[in-house]
Order: sequence, then C-alpha cells, then structure tokens
Amino acid sequence: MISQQPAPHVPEPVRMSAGLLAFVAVMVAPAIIATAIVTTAWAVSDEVYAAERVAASTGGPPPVAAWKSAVVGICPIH
Amino acid sequence: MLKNFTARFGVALQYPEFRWLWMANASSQAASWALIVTRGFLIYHQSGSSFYVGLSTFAAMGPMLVVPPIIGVLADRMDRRRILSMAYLLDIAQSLALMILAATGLIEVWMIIALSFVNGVSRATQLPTSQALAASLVPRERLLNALSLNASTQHGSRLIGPGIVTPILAVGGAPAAFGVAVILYVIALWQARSMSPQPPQPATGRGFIEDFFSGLAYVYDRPVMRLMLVILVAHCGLTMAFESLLPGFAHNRLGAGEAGFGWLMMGVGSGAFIASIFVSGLNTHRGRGTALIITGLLSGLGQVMLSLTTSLAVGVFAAAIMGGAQAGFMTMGQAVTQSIATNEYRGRIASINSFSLGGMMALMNLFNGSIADTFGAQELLLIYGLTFAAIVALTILPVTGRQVYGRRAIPEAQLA
Repeated sequence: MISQQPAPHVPEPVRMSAGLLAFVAVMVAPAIIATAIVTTAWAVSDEVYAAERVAASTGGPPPVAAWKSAVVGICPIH
Repeated sequence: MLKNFTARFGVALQYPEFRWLWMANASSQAASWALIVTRGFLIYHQSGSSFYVGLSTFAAMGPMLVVPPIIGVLADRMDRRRILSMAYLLDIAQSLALMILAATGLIEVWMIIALSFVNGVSRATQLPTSQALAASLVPRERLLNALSLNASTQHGSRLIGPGIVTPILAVGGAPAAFGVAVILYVIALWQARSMSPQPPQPATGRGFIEDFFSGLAYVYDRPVMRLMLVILVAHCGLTMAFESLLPGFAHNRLGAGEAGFGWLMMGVGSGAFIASIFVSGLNTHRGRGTALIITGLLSGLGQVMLSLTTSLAVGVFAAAIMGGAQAGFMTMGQAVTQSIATNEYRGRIASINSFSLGGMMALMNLFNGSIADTFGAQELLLIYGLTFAAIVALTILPVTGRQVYGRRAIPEAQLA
C-alpha cells in the first residue's frame, strides 16, 4: 500500500558564520542575562540581607561577596 | 460612515477566520487584565504588601523570557489553533481554581502567585501563536491591518478589562471578578474553536534547539528582516524600558509622586491605543514605511520632550506621543518581519519577536533601575531618546534601510 503521508520537508542548511553568531548573541543574550540576574538575586538575597543586618549591628563591612550584593541591588524585586 | 471606517481600519475583519481570532484575543486580553486587577486587590487585601503584588506580576511576566522559544518551534510544527485552544483551556482552569478558592475562603497568597505563573505561561503561549496565526489567516497586503487590530486589543484591554471587573469586584468581591475572567476565557476558547484547523507543517527532523536556531538563521539570511529586528531590539532597549525610570522621574523632576507616575502611564496607554487604530488604516508599503520613520523618530523625540519638561500636563502629553509612537513602530516592525516570513517560519519569527524584544526590555529595565540613582532618570531618558532617533535617521541611509522604511521594494528573493 502506498503511504499518503507528506514527503519529509528538507530544511535549509544553516551556514555558520561570525556574523550569524553575533546576531544570535544580540537576539538571545538579553533574555538569558535578565533571567540569570533575577534567578541569582532570588538565590542569594536572603544571605545578602542577613549579612547586611549583621554588618549594621557590628558596624563592620557586610561579610558577603560584593557580586552578591550587586546582583541583589540590580534586581528590583529582591 | 461606520462602513467607511470599517472598510479602512478593520478591513482584515472581513476574513471570518481572522475575525474569530481577533475576538478570541480581545476576550482573553480583557480576561488577563481583569485577573491582574483582581489578583493585585486580593493579594494586597490579604498581605498588605506591595512586594507580593509585584511578585505576582513578575510571576505572570517571567515566562515571557522562557516560553516563547519553545512555543515558536511548536507553532511551526503543530496546528496553531490547537495550541491556542489549549492555552485558553489552561486559563479557564486557573481562573476557575482562583474563583473556587476565593469563594471558599481557602485562598492564600502563595496560591495566587503560583496561579499567576500558570497564567503567565499561557499568555506567553498565546502571544506568539496568535501573531503567527494572524499572519497566516489574511493575505500579505492585509497583514499590517491584522497585526494592528491585534495590537489594539492588547492596548484596549488595559482599559476594558479593569473597566469591566472593577465594579464587579466592588459589588460581588473577588470570586465574582474571577468568574468574569472565566467567562471571558470561555468566550475566547469558543472563538478559537470556531476557526478551521491549521494543518501542521511537515516535520523537519530537527530537535527543538536546532529548530529555534534555524529560525534565527532564517532571519539572518534576510537582510531586511534582520535589520528590522535589530532596530526593534534597539527600540525596546532605548525607548520601551522606561517603567523603572518613570517613578523616579515623576517624583524628582515633575514633583508629582506616585499619582504622577500613574498619569504618565495612562498617557502612554492612551497614546498606544489611538496609534494602533491609526496604523491599521495604512494600506501601502510606502505609507507604512513613512509611518515607520515618523513613529521611530517620535518614539525617541517624545522621550526627549518628556525628559525636558517639568510640567505634569506636558509630561502626560509627551508620554502619550511616546506611547503612541512606540506602539505604532512596534506593530509596523512586526508586520514587516511577518510579511517577509514564509508560513513554516512564522511561529519562530513571532517567538523571536517576543523573546528577543522582551528580553532586551527586561534587561534594560534592570539596568536602568540600578543606575538611575547615579545618573538620574531625566538624563537617561534624554540620552536614550536622542540615541534612538539618531539610529532611525542613520538606518534610512543604506539600501536595506530604504527597503525597511518602504522607500524601495523588498527584493523578491527575500520574500521566498
């Protein structure tokens, strides 16, 4: 019996180039970076705020890495 | 007179399949804003915390950065009408759950936030699917009209959704307001089911990531579409990521506090609604191109005007110009990309629109929020506005730019 299924579609081959990679980076990177900032801020915010409370009571610098404070500072919902 | 108005501004509605899609969109968008208002009211009523209200909104927006690439590929493989119907079914289920939980008094803040996320996943599914579907339901010359009418439902629903639900919330409480959302989603599902099934595309044999990447490569190989998307990304980053700047600007520059922020946002919303109707009346490639240049320039210069004023009234006027120009520019830009794309890539093109543009807006909002205290909201609005106006002016010069802005015909090879 002859199959009535449509013939398999042959997709266009993707030609890799530096321009294509740069374009993909421009299109994809913002969403990935934004997601990474919010997710990381969510993961470390409790630690940062606890460290800030300790620092406020002892008078010293917060015992937490600067990048953690920075990420939490960037994210408006944390 | 009404007939003339419809013939010019609602010409795509003459196609029954598109009319059903448009009504499904209008109902679901109104439902979604009804949910935003009711969830916000209920969360604030239960917790007294604006933070949780913001978290609920974020839970509903967050999926926009993750879901579209997956849905874009699916929309190019499956029946788009079926995907849309499944999204509406999910929304009926989550708003029904909210209604029952609110009516029985069992509802808690975490439940509302969790269901906001479900609503966000569904919305992130609906937007690219419906854009791809709209493009396949009308001829290419009606595409701008169809996408503009779709955009007008997005902007109009910000007024209509809360307008319907607010008095019901006051009289019948949250369960009744969630009930309205259920009814609106049922209407959306009914309209979506009225459309004919859209035959799925032949299988490519590729994986998900490879298929999404091939969509990006498809755009890259078409210079007009590529330039349009890069300009749209710049537009989102420079002129549309203003939410984190406006509260500080309204307070410090206009001396108008939170009420001033609300007025500015109303200006942006009303301008966007009017512009989306105006744009739907553009029928020619050249007319659309001219409007693209004007709205692009006004999008930047409206922001410059806003940054320079100290008067709330002028600020609201500038915000309306800015909002109108932004909405018009985005709608026409997306129409350019969809009018070039072939049907087998439209789902991915729509998802790239959502994913890349939404991603840039989210990133720039985070960035602006973190540097606004150092550099000042007014200065950032001014610099970004001028930069984008300059980008529009410069991109008119090359041949590809003239094709984007309708000064030259798009080569046939790029339409294949």
